[in-house]
Amino acid sequence: MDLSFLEQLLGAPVEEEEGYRNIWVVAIAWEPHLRACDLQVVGKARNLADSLGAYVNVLLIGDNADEDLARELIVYGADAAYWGAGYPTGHSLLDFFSQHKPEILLFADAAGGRKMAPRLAQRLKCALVTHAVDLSINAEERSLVVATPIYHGAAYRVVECRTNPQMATVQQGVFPVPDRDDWRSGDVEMVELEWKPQPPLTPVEPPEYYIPLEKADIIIAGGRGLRGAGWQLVEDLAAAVARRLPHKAIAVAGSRGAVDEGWIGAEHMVDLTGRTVAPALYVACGIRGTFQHFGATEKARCIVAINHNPDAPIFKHADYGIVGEVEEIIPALIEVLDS
Amino acid sequence: MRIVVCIKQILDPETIKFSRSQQAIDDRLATRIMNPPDRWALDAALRFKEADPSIEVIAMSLGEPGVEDVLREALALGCDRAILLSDAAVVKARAAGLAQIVATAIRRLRNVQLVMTGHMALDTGSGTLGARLAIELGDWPVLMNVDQLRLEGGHITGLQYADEKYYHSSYPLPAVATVLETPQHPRYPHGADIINAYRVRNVEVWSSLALGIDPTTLPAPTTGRQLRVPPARQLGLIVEGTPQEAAQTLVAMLRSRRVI
Repeated sequence: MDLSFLEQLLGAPVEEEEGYRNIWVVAIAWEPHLRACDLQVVGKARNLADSLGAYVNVLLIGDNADEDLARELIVYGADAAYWGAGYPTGHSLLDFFSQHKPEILLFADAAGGRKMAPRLAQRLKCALVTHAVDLSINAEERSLVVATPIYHGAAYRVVECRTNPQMATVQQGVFPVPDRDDWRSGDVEMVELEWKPQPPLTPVEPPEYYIPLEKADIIIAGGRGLRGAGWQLVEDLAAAVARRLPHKAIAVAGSRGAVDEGWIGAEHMVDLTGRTVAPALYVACGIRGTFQHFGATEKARCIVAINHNPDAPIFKHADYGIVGEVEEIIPALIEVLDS
Repeated sequence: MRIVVCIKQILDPETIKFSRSQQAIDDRLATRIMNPPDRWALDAALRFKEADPSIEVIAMSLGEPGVEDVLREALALGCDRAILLSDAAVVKARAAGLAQIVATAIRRLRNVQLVMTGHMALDTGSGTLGARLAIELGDWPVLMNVDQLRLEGGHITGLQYADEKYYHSSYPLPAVATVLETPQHPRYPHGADIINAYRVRNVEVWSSLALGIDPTTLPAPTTGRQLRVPPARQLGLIVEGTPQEAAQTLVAMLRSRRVI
């Protein structure tokens, strides 16, 4: 029987590309221990590999890579670990992966991977999804489905990779560090790549405007709405909170408006172009709220907004809001806190 | 010496709406702006030009003809030339193909020693163009996520941010640099310069055909994509009452949530 019509109906038979299988992770040991972000990727790769029926192989590079660290990777979920001390040249990395043909190739979105992944992707003429916050497998197509934030997480783009290899960098802190399983065993092998000399990187003092506001438990922030009331109110409120909660780290910050007005230095600016913060409590006094401001404060556990304009966008992002003049509300708050 | 600054036009995140029912971006009321990190890159390039007038700064962008507006803005800010890469192949191309097209255009310009761009585009947030371009340009070194750039003795140096630490890094030219935003304000153009940029100045439009690129050889767009809009953040509670009452209620609520 002539079944060629079936072939036409289904399209030409897909030619299976030989050999693109297994999940590879590139881990980097700058220091004599494994980075949490790499372990997170290995853990996620383990999950994906189990649903694909594939192996997780890890390539460990970096000046401090050694056999013991490679064995650690097995304990955390890899099936095979390849290691080499040094930083490989782009060409040798390309050769290595052309030879091993990963189906999925993952990097941590951190120093090293952030630069290595796009460079390798371009050499392979291949797509790369960065900052992945969710990874799953489309079992029908055997393809990697990746969610990645756009507009700073206002929405997510879900991308299905159809290239060989399917490449992604994984955002830090999204997936847990996997549990150790000291009974796991796997192959550990040293690889010879072409290494390139890396200039020694010594950290320098961060520039003055990068003071870690991140360390604060409670941040009292002011914006342009304080023009009539005076900046001192914010400082007073911070002082009152500090009297009430002497064991908490309390910081004063400003929106871009407040910094532009010269009320507070740029080192205290909460904005995507300044610092992003994640305090337990963020109090926004007289801040209207811009996209950049929300981007910088979205990780705060609780946001309180005080603004005279009931339509100010900040109320859409706040857990608690008080509509009213800051010069009335803040003294009342101070009074309650002190009582 | 020539510096090329790659600029992207994006939808202003303040003006777009995300439609939850359609799971799509509603851009009907959106304005289009220069990607903010690119503005910082352009600013750094123009500072180099101020220090050394022999430097020629060329703004480059790609996409549909409407993208011209950001290039006019770049001209108003003081760029010497503005080039728009625009045709069907460009509009269709994705990251790998775009890097090839841009790199071909940069090679065509000759004597380009430095390519600068923002550390990422605010819309897609990928931040891979710099590294991809560096490969296409023939394995140039790339300084990623840098600030406080300096040009000295044929080297580009900058303060590099990686793993929450800062490092000084330096690479010989030619190189690619992707620039971080800092709290310092970048410049904005004067009104008269904007008018001139439209009346007198010229945005060159290059097509991939003119660059000798065969669109069929470009890597095909390889990924299927859709948008997922997360559920709205639950609207907060507006505390009512006189200032004193509101203050009391608020403090009580915060205390019950164990925030204070």
